[in-house]
Amino acid sequence: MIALQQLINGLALGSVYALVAIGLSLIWATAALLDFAFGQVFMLGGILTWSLVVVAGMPLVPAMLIAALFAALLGYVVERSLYARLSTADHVTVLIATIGFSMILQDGATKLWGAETRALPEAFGGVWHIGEIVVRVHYLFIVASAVVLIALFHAGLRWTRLGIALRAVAENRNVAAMMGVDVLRMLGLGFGASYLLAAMAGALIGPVTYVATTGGTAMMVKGVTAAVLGGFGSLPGALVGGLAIGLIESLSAGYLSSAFKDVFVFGFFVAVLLVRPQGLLGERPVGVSEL
Amino acid sequence: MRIGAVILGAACFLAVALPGLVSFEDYLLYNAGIALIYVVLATGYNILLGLCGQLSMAQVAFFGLGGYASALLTRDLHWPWAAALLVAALLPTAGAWVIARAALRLTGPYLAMVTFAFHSALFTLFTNWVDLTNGWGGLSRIPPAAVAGFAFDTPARVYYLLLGFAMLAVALSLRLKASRIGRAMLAVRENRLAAKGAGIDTARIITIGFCLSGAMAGIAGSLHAHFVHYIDPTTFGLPRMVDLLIILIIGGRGSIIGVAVTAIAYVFALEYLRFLEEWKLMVFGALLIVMVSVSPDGLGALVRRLARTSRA
Repeated sequence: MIALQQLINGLALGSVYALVAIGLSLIWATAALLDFAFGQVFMLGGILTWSLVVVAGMPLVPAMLIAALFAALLGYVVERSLYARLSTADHVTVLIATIGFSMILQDGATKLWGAETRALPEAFGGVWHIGEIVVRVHYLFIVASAVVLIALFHAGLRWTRLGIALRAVAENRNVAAMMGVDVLRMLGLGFGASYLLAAMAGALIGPVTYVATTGGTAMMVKGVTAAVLGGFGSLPGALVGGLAIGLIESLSAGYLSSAFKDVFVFGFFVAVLLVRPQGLLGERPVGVSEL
Repeated sequence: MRIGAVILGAACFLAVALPGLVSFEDYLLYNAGIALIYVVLATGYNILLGLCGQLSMAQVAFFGLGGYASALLTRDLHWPWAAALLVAALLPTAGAWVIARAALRLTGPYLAMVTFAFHSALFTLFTNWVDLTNGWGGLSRIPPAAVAGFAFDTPARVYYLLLGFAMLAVALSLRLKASRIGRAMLAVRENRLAAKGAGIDTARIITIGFCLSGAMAGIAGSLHAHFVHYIDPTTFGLPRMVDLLIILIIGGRGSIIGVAVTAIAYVFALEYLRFLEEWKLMVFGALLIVMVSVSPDGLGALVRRLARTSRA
């Protein structure tokens, strides 16, 4: 029974990790960079939602959407004004710039909101009893929202004009440009879409983990772990990786030790990398050198 | 170049004479000690990021591993400091070796994230393995460093100890950079494929880079623990990693002297810019972005470039 309980918790947690991982993978696929500030966007999603709900008195779901749209705008602007300038720099240089941006976001948010932890109300309070299992309704809301978001995202990438253009940019920038795709705008939009997912993830998990301006970094580690685990740049891989991390974390917290759950996650991660460097679902090793 | 050598000589003289110039209780001497520890730490990191071009985020984790190992061995098990120092150097070396083997196949951002996750995992051990590390409470009453009955227990003595280690670290790194291995490291940094093509065992070179920088971080950790006599997890947190990155970016990745000088300047700048404390992360975050956009090779390269333009 406890196993099933942990499974449901893990699934809810995992679907949030999956959202972050999919966002990271999309940025990697289109702009070929790893955005260290991504965890801070997750944090912003949570804290902005908190402000809209608790301070402005809005209902949770519209507040989440507004926060996510704001994050999307931020992503577009940051890519156009900052990261695009560094398109010719090497990975290390770009990564250091994103670390700088991450510091600015986190410290700026702490200046604005303070460092304390805040509670975000649930979208649907209460619990369901199924036999001996107790399920918080909000967990089901998290899983359902994640499923809807990922489905919409997938459909958008697959069937809309914009999505096809985005995938073309990911496939080959030069050819996409020759086919008349506005590559620069697509890179900005890719960032915007990814930031939207991160902010939604932050708003969804907020009622479970509470919201604090310091929470972004840990999520960044989890999101990247999930993305690399599944095969970086692969969206189904990010989904599988996110769910795997959520389940391992929840099960090891339930059965082994909750204080050291991160250590178990990291151990699993390194083990997978040693055996299968391209990740669980990655077809070819990206960013992997055989030298 | 000759002017540079003169300035360097004067700086070394000043460093040696410093305890005579200021009173021993002076806070300046304490900051100088911290600055010298940063020199060891940053110089070690420079071997990995500057020479080999591997962006590891685990350097501070190794710093912590050395600090905790040395503190626990001397304080609780009453080992002599020299033996504890050896363990403090070897333990992170072993850790770095494991990371290097796991990370060899990874490049650029992947490596950064895997090592970042390693730091998070180790930081969890520092904070949550309370039986061993006392968690957030930290370890206090760490004895001073001592060799064969001679304790480095006065400000001047410990200052000279740290100065010795800092100079040793810089001298060995300069020697390394000029050596065959150092050149191979630079080749790996510039182009891994071409380095491999030129017959360099790239895996071995990167592993050496990881192990050397891990060992130096561990030694710096031990020095720090016995200098301050107290450590807790915040000593080895992410902000310290950011400090290191800033020092390397401003000093110039791969420039041994540039990074060592920047490490000292950085510690004193923070000390005398206390009013910045509140805005530190924002200011340095912006500084990182500006530096990598304007002059990714460091402040020295920027100055040289400007000098060349004005002369032309």
